[in-house]
Amino acid sequence: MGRCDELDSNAPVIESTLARIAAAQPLLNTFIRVDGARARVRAETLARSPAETRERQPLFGMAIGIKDVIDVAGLPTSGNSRLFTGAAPALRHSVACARLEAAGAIIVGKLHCWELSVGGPCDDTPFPPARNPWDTSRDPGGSSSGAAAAVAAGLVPAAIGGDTGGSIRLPASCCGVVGFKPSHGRIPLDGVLPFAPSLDVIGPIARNVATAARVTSVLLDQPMPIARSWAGCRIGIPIGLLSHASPCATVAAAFEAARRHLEALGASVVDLPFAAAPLFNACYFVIARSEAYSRWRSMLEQSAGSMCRIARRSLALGALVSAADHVDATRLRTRLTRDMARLFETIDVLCLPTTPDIAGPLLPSDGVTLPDAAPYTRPFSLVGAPAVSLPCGLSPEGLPIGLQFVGRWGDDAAVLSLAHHLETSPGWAWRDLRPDSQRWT
Amino acid sequence: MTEDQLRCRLATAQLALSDDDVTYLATASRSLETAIAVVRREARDIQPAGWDAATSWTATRP
Repeated sequence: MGRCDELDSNAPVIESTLARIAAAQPLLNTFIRVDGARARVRAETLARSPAETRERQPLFGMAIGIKDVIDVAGLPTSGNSRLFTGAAPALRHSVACARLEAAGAIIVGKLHCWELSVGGPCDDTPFPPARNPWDTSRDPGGSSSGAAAAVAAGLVPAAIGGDTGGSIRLPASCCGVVGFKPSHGRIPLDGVLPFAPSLDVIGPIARNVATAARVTSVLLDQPMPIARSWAGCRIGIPIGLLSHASPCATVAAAFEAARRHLEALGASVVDLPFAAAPLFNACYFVIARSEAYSRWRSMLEQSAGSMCRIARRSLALGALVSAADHVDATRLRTRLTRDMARLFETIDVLCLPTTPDIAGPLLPSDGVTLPDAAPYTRPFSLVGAPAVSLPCGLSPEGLPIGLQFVGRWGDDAAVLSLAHHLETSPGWAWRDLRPDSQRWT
Repeated sequence: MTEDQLRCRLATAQLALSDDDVTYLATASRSLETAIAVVRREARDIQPAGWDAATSWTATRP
């Protein structure tokens, strides 16, 4: 595997990275904590390493930000929650961060997120909401809001986010970058604050698919080949899911254009009924609520007032799910997972928009109620499938639109390689999108 | 679910939330109740195939 394109191998380069972050922070709020001293020491250490060591490190010199639910040794993990104000620094790296540093990455700090990955965007969290670099009056999506916004703004070439029902893919879509949710269970979650453990995964957000694949390979500790022939591949469109929650006209038009582009590349694109779409979303809702409540119940009983109102209310809903309902949902999940596995006997990949709409306002108008951004992402979280979001257009307002590929469980390379194939194909205009930095500096 | 019913459920769960929270949850719980109803209806039709297979969704992985 070759070294990354974004080598930050010496002090001047890491200084420019830290300067970009500092300049953008007052308006974009992408970082909760920046550790410049650590990054400088790390850059100096890497610069002194022998050439043969560098060649073995696929992320040599790459500056990376980490969502603040993932432990970085020496830094507190706050989850953007007052529950953890004053928390002691993590004693050791999460498995993910240990692998990133072993691969030569430079961790520059902890990124903004919705409180405990549950509550946001909200104005009563310890840190103010991150803003979308494409339009700073807009929400960057969540819950890995800072990760997507920081990559979109060019502050770091890659970041690590977490995804339970769409929390990597949705902000990636809103911010015009690539976000990859690996298959559930393939990347260890040691040292990660949980939301709903049977759904939680962590994964990369990056400017392009090749970088996302390189970071994924490190997180998985396995090769991630993305060079594959896609001539004659079978791509399914889950029509039932799109009629269950219709995309806005702008997203629908961009998706149609992407479909035509895939057909022009030689793919066989077929409509699939996907009639069980409402079942997937209902099942997800019951399982996610009850698991999150189970995890955070004691905190909710003792310190509900320390949580932002969205997190508090979202978690409290889980108290209304009975044990029998949770077991019913688990049994239904088993059936839906088998149904999905059968679906992939006839196709290679599913393709659909990432979210029905473009980025919304920075905060909900009533402070609480958000439109449902995740009807296209939750079903695939429920079955643990790998899924990637990549840009597929800009709205008339100049806001990014995301396209999603979903694969069978364990075939992470398929979705990444098809995304890479599309992203690098002739005539595809949506690779490496960059907002105008004058918006936030 | 009415606000009174909700207050009882939250008290049983030992959750002390504000009136604003309860008012919000009374509305938000409707979509949860709908989801639960869908799950109950579908799960009723699933034939038990043994405890392990029926409850371990990861058993479907290759």
